[in-house]
Amino acid sequence: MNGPNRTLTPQNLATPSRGIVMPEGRYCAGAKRRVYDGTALMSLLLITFNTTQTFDSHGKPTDSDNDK
Amino acid sequence: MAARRIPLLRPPAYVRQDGRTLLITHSWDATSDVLVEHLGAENVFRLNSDLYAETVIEIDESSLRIAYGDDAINFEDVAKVVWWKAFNGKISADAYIEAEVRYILREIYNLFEVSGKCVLTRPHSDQYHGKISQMKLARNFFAVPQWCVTLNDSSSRLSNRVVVKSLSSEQVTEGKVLFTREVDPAALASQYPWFTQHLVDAEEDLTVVYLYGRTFGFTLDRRSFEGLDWREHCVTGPLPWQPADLPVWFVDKIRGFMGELQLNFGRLDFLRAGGVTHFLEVNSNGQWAWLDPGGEYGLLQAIVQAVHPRTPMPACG
Repeated sequence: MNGPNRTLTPQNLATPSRGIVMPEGRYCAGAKRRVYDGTALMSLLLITFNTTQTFDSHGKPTDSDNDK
Repeated sequence: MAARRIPLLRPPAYVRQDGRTLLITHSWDATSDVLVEHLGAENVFRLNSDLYAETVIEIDESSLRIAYGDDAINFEDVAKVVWWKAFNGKISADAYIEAEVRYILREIYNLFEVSGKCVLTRPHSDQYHGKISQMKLARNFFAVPQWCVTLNDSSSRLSNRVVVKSLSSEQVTEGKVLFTREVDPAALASQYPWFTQHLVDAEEDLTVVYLYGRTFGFTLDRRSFEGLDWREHCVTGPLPWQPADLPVWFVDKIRGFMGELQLNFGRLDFLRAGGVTHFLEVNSNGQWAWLDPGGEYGLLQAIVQAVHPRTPMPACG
């Protein structure tokens, strides 16, 4: 049973994940990598990203391999 | 601890000198971009789960062929296989197609694993040894902050300063996640699952990439970010991680721990406080590329060497 002070839930402890809106990329079959419009990606290597994707606390989209 | 036995990697009977590395991934994966860049596109066949609609796959009793664009690869052309976050994000709006494609990709991996060609990590490797199993085993090797996992339990098993974490790291609600944060354990609503742990008032984070017995350590001064969880800040820009030398005794502990888990690869997270290094977790599919993007610290080269089709199958030395 919850006492009167047991008010913390996952919902009210959660905070917005940092969403990243990536530019559209074109997958280049020859280079076997995605080509972007001049956006530096090095700072984003921690995560696997997608367009207009938000991420969980490990920087991953929902329904993904475990990773962070 | 009776860790789930994972088949050990076996060297293939032979490696074709013109073989390639099959990289099973996702077309948006920046780490895979880095790998392709450093391996050379001619040495890689990149199988992107999200581009399944443009990919041809043929598997029968005696053959396997995958084609994308003008490129194709057969079973015997594959020297090594790397599974790298192939299932990040949905790959199809059709749930049935998604499930079938995922099944096929997993089976492609399985076919090569039986042949001893897979390196680094496995699909869904955390299902074999999650945080709870890791922490129980880790006590044999490291200091582990006292922790507790509860469901429908109203007792406060931990006292003093406590943090709450997520086990699954899934979103709590749309767009919201539970980062590590300090809580009053007596205030947690008991009907929810909770993973709580004593707060370590750490001076720095230590993360260690383990690769077939080799270790690459990096530290992050906790004064460089606000709060308790550096992951909350990592997507806004690079944090000042610095390479760190690890004492031999500590490397030996890591090797022992990873050996017990039968992991060839993983990123271990620790906290350093008052001269004590506290284990938090190992992520057997952990990201690593941001730690050495320019190849200055040996990590990038070591991973490229491990997955390159023309190097021997890596083994723990």
